[in-house]
Amino acid sequence: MEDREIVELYWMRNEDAITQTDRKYGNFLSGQAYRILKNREDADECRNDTYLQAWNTMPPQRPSYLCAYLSTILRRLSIDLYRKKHAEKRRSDEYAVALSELEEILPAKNPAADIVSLHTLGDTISAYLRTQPLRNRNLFILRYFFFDTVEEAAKHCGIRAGNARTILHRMRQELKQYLIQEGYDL
Amino acid sequence: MKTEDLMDAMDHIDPDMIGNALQSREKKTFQWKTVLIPAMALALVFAFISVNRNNADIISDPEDPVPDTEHENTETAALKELHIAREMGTEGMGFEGEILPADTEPDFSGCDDTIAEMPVLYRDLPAVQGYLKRTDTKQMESVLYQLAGLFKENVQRMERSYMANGGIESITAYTETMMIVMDSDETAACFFKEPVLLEEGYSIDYDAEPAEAVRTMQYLLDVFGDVISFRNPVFDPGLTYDYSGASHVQYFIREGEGNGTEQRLAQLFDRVQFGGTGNKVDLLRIWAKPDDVKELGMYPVITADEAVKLYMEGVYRTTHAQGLGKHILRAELVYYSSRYEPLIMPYYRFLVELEDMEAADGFVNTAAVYVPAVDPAYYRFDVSSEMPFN
Repeated sequence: MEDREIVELYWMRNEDAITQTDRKYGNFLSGQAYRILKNREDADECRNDTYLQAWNTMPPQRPSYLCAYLSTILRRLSIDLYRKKHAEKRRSDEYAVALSELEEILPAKNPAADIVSLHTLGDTISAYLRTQPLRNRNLFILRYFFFDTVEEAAKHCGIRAGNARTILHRMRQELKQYLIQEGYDL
Repeated sequence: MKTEDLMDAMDHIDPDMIGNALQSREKKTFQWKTVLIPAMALALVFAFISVNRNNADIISDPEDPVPDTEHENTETAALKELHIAREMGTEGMGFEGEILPADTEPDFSGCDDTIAEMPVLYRDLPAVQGYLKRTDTKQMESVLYQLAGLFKENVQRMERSYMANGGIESITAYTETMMIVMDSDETAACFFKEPVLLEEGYSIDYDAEPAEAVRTMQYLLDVFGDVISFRNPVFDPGLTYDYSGASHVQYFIREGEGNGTEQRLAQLFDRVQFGGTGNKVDLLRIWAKPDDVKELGMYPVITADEAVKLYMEGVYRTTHAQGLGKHILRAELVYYSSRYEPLIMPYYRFLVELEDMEAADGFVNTAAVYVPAVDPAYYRFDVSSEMPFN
């Protein structure tokens, strides 16, 4: 079933919206959550919570790309659960590895940490990504939004893993400069 | 600002960018050389859609006999080599498998070593940007009108939605009390704005015992007798388990008439599912055979033991790349099709224990792997990412 029809079911308050969502994206969402959590039970829990949140937010939301919408909800829930479960320890999973890569941009424990608007920061990152070629932009999002391994992200973008690492490294450096230029105190 | 703020801010980047990245990931660059001209104009295996077998309009040709495909010699010389993408182009990209009790005994009852050859089918459509591209909608519209007619409804309007490659993704027909969505593979989902109410004693309950689900399905077949009928209905409660050990059922009915090959095709093309809650049924889903499905030829198939050997040698497809164990808990001979690839061919579907996933006490996680059932002499795996489209 096409996304638009599924969203229509949410708006009709038809519970089959969730069945249809699960049929179309259930495996995908579980897989995404598993990348972060490395535990299938937790991954399935986040997937189900994603359905609940989708149910509670449509209406009023009417996403044009349902999968991206669900992915965003799921990512948030999975990261929250990850942090809850691994508050004191770091693991060598894709989330932790991706996070350590981003520490190139700013330290994990920045003593000058201030409260930032995540919405505004997200807009700024979007603005930076818009300056990039589509392939690089996709590579960055696959790595830091979906937590694909570098090898997987490279494959999806049609480039070699070594090349992807170089591009990502350069993008992190550029993003750091871009954020400074935009007034962020890094 | 902390590093984790950056990670959190990624939740707020432009959704269109996320969508674009997703599309780059979904494009499965599988190899398909469109040289699929059937060697012989064999009668198509059809007569599967069971939607009102008394309605001649909706049945392709119920008298068209399904060839006896078993225990026949194969004219193998004319068979084309099959090109199979190593990657499985499913939408899943995550898990395909089940949670099973740890004490599950290996079950190979879904295999049938008496079958010596099976038809390989294909969808006569090009693959463009990783998806099949269907543009002819006449058959889909015709079936939609007939489905609405069976429910004594008039189609008020239709809406089409298209894929990025220009193909049709689905058509939705709206009537006064229904919404019928037909995907390009001719799977139709009939939604009832006013649920069909069941008599006391029957219910759609996903926690029901399998026997109870079968009893309800028998009743549903009577209720929907004007719309669906089967010559020999098979009631499949689709038993699954969750982590708590509770079993769950679904409500599938398929055609059970015919030989082993026909029954396996019926699982793809001649099946219905009911959905709803309690005494309310608000969904009837129908799987039918798309009109663009053609037969490529009869191919010799291997036995389950031979397929196990191939699995151990690494000859398989799966959506789950890591942690596959050697322990096969369930084996079935099935047909597999997806919206990504034209070939519809038989596979041995193995549920194998996953060694890298934690499971609750008393349970194991499994993943599904697919070993082509066709004799290996007739196919080759292509490294999909290095191959061009078409």
